[in-house]
Amino acid sequence: MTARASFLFAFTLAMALAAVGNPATAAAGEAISARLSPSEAEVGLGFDGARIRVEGEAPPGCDVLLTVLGERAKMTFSSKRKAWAFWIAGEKVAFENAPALYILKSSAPVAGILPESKAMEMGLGKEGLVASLASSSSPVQLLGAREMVRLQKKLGLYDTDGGEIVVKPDGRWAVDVNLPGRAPIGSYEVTAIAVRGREAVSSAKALFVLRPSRPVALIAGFARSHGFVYGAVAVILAIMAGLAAGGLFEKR
Amino acid sequence: MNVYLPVASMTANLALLVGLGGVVGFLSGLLGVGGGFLLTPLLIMMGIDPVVSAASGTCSLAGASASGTLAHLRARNVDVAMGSFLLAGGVAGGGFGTWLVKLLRSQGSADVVIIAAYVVLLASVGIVMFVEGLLSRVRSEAEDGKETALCRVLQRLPFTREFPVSGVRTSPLAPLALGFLVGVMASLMGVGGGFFLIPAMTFALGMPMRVVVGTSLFQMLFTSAFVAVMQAGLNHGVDIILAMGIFAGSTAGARLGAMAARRVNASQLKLLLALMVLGLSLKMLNDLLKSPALIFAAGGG
Repeated sequence: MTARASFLFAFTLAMALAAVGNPATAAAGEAISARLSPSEAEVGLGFDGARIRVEGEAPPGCDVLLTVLGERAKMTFSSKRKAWAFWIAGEKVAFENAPALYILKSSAPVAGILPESKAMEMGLGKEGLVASLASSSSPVQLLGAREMVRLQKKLGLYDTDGGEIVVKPDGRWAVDVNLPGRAPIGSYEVTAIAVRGREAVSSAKALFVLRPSRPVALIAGFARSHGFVYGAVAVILAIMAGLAAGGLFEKR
Repeated sequence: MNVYLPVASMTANLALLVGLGGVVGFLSGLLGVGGGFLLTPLLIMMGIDPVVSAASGTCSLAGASASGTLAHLRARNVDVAMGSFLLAGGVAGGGFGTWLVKLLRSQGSADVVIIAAYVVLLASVGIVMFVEGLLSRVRSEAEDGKETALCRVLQRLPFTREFPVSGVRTSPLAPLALGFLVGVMASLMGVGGGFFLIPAMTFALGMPMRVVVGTSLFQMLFTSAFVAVMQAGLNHGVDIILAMGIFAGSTAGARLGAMAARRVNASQLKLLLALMVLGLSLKMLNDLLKSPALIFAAGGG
C-alpha cells in the first residue's frame, strides 16, 4: 500500500468513526449549556448570601429545569412523641444522603413539564426530594423526610417551588439564584435540564464554590482542631471584655 | 447589618444579637439570673444550631457575669465565701446530674418525669416567692434577709460559721448542699441554676436580696466559664463572633440592670423574680402540652 493509499484509508476510517461514534455530533442541536457568573464567592465576616447568575442556551422548543444542590451529608432529626399529655423527645431519624441546600428553578411548573413519576425519579420538586431523602418507604422515614423538607424550607435552605427561569424564543435562558446567608461553605452542583414533550432531552452541569475567607477559616479551623484551647481563649476574651466594660462604666 | 458566624456557619443580624444580649444582660444585672432560659430558645428561633446557641450564650454570659460581678464587688454585694461553697457544691452536683441524665434517659420515659417535676418545682418556687414578695411589701423592708424556719434547721448542722458579708451564721454544708442540688437540677434541665439558687439563698440561707444577686453573679461567672470551655472542647459549639455580639449588648444591659437593682427595693425584686419564674413554668407547661408545629426538629446527635 502506497503512502497516499494509507493516508486515504486512515482519513476515511477517522471520518466514519466520527460520524457513528460521536452522538454529540448528531445531537449537537439538542444540547443545553449552563454558565455561572460568578462561579465562586468568598464567605467573609460580612457575608450575607450570594447571588449566582445562571444562563445558557436550550434546544429549540424546550423548557428548562435547574437544580442547585449542596454537598450531601448525614442529617439527624429528633422527633417528638406524646407521652401521657406531654410532648417529649422521641426517636431520632437519620437521612444519610441529604443535600445541605436544594434550590429548584424552572421555566414552567414542574408538573406541566414532566410526568409525576419522572419528576419523582429525578428527585425534582417537593415530593421528588422527599422520595430521594427517605431511605425506605416506611411511614416514619417518609413523614420524617417531609418534615425535614418543611424545616429546611423554613430555614431558607430548601426551595422546591420552581419557576423564575425565562427562556427567550431563540433558546437563551437565564435565572438568578440566591444562596442564603446560612448556605454552608463548600461546593454546589448546578444542573440544567432541557425538557421537551415531557422527556428530558439533555443536561449540563456546572460547579459553584463557596470558600471561606482567611479570618473565617482561621476561627472555624481553630474551633474544630483545638476546641479546649479555643474555648479557653474565647472565655478569657469574654471575661476581659466584661471587666474592661465594667471599668469603663465605673469611670463614667 | 449582618455578620457571619464562622462556627454556626450562617449569617445573623448583628443588631438583633446585641438587642437580645441587652435584654438578657438587664435581667442578669437586675435579678442575678443568667438568662440562659431566655437566650438559648431565642437564638434557636433565629435558626442557630441548639448546641452553638447554648454554648455561645454561656460564653457571653461569662463576660457579662464578670462585668456584673465587678460592679457588685465594688458595692460590697458579693459574699465570696458563700459563693465559693455554692460553686463547689454546684460543680459536684453538675457532674452527678450529668451522670443521672444518662441513667434516666436510658430507662425510657424518664424525660417526662423530669420535665413535669421541673414545672411543678418552678411553679411552687414562683408561688412561694410571689406570696413572700407581696407579704414583705406589707411588712417592713427590714425583714429582707430574715431567718426562716429552714435557716434555723440548717444552723444546727456542724461546722457553723459566720458569713459577715451576708450577715448570716450557718453551716458551710448548707451552701454546699444547695449548690449540689442546683447543679443537679441545672444538668437535668440544661438551663442555668439562677432560678433555683436565688430563692434558695433567700429562703434557706436567709441572705439579704442585695447580696444574693451579687453572689449569684459571682457563682455564675465561674460556672459559665467552665461550661463554655467544656462545650467548646467537647461539642465545638462556641462561636466567638456570636458570643461577642451577645456580649456587646449584655454588658450594657447588665450595667443598666445593676443600676435599676439599686433603685428597686428587695420586695419588688422578689416579686419580679417570682413573676419570671411563674412565667417560665407556664411557658414550659405550654411547650409540653401544645402540639408542636413540626414533629421533627434539627439536631439530636
